[in-house]
Amino acid sequence: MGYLDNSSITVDAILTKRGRELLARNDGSFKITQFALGDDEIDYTLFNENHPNGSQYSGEAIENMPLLEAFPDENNIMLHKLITLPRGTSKLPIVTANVSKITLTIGASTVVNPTTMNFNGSNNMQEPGGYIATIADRRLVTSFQGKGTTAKKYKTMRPFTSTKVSEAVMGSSITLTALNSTSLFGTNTKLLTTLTIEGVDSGARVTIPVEISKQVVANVATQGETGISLA
Amino acid sequence: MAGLIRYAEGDIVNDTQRVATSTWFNNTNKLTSALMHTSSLQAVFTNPTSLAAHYLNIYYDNTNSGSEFSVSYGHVAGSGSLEYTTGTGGDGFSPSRVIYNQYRQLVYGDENSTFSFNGYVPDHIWVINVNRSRYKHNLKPGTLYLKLTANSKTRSYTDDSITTSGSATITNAGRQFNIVSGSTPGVMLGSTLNQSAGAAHGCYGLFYPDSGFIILNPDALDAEHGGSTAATLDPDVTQNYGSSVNNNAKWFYNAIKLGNHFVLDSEEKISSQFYFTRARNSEFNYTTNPSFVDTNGSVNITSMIDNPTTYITTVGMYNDSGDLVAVAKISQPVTKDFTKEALIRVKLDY
Repeated sequence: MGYLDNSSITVDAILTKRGRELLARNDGSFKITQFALGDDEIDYTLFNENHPNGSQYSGEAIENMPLLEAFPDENNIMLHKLITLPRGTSKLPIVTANVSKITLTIGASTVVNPTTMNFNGSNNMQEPGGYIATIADRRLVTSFQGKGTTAKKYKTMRPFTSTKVSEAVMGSSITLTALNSTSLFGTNTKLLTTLTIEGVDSGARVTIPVEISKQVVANVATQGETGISLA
Repeated sequence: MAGLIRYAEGDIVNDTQRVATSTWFNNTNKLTSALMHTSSLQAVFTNPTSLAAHYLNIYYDNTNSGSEFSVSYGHVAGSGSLEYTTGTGGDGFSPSRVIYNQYRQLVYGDENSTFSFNGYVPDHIWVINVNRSRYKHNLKPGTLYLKLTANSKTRSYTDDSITTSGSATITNAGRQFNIVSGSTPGVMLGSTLNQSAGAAHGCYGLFYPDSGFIILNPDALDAEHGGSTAATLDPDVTQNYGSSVNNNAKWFYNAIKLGNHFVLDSEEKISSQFYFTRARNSEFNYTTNPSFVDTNGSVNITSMIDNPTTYITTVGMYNDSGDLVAVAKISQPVTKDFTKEALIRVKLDY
């Protein structure tokens, strides 16, 4: 007769950058009150339904995966959360937007309207709690705002410097305006970043590539021949 | 926010543990003579304002490992070291007086007290000061085991924190224990504080684990080891004393090095919080992971429609505002489905 394994799993936690910042404030904002579980790093296509040894072994590849240590940057971890849904759910919430890629020229604006498929029995709807949109490089936009009843500034990350690295806003739609100077471009003709939108109620998320183009009208040497069109 | 579960009141538990480690570089337990070196750059004794006139750093090796401890000599009247400025008005103002007054201030907090070793008050002291970066919160009482060799006699010394006489006296420098004769760390040999000279010279020294230094009584050590030459533990207390090859601190260091045995552990108090993270059988069986579904949101794997299986790799810990403040990773994915519950104990050290 063997012994039953009644031990729990014990793991060491690390503070995130945000956690260190709040701990240093010493105003009670650090207090941990809730948790979520994630499955970052897991690729479910490794789940082999046709395993030669039977379905008990379908998860063999995933279960033997060695996992990486935790990252202290809260923007790069807990990307995929485990969620609770009724058994038998065959369609999971998916966040989509009116654009699959955002391409802007200098100073141009656009509005992103996210919706969620397969949520609360609806094919496509806006989540009542709204969406959290995070622009990875805040320097590339002059304006970044959430609109609608849930609109508010959510989080600005300024790790160790005064430079805004990323910024998040909440709202049912997101408006962003590209930067209107060419100082960040250098010799590049376009700058790239991403906009990540997460449904507050569903936890589903989508990442949309953002491309800001440096609009070259004409060279100084050719002004006399081609002229310059002013915006 | 989706997927967040509040910890119940009993799910968060506080705990404090004392952790002891070796004090010396590279987690070395015992410093032997081969692991004790001085620096020729520092050991300049002919100038009263030099560092070596005040303290002598002892190094583990010639790498950049930093010093292990330092040795100093102090005299209440400034004897036994070169005076900063000779002549009338400068008498007695020397490194040895600076050292004595410095430690007197630390321990007694005033300028008039003198070091008393079980009632005996010598004019001078030797000091072993452990490099602050070598220990955590404090040195651990009951782990000191120092051998001194002088005049061809080797003696073992420890503190009396484990014996019945070892209740600490609390000073401005924290707990104070007696340095006694003994080869079992923390346990006094015999029943008197000074084996050789009895009550005549009090005890051998005083140990301040919270401040990281040891004050030794040269008169008691000299009585223990005998002799009156430079090869013994008898400091030269000549006023304005200086030597191009030696000084009183170095004499004492030589006895430590010849003793070939210096063990002293450090101690740290670690406060931990344990978070009992419970995933009930009906929870966390679906995921927002894009590889779980196709572009329409349909579950990719047919068998998972009736029996969804997820794999826990990460525990995210949030505050009331939804900020991710701490995170823990599991070494291997934990399988979760409607027939399984998971209990993950997350430890957060401060």
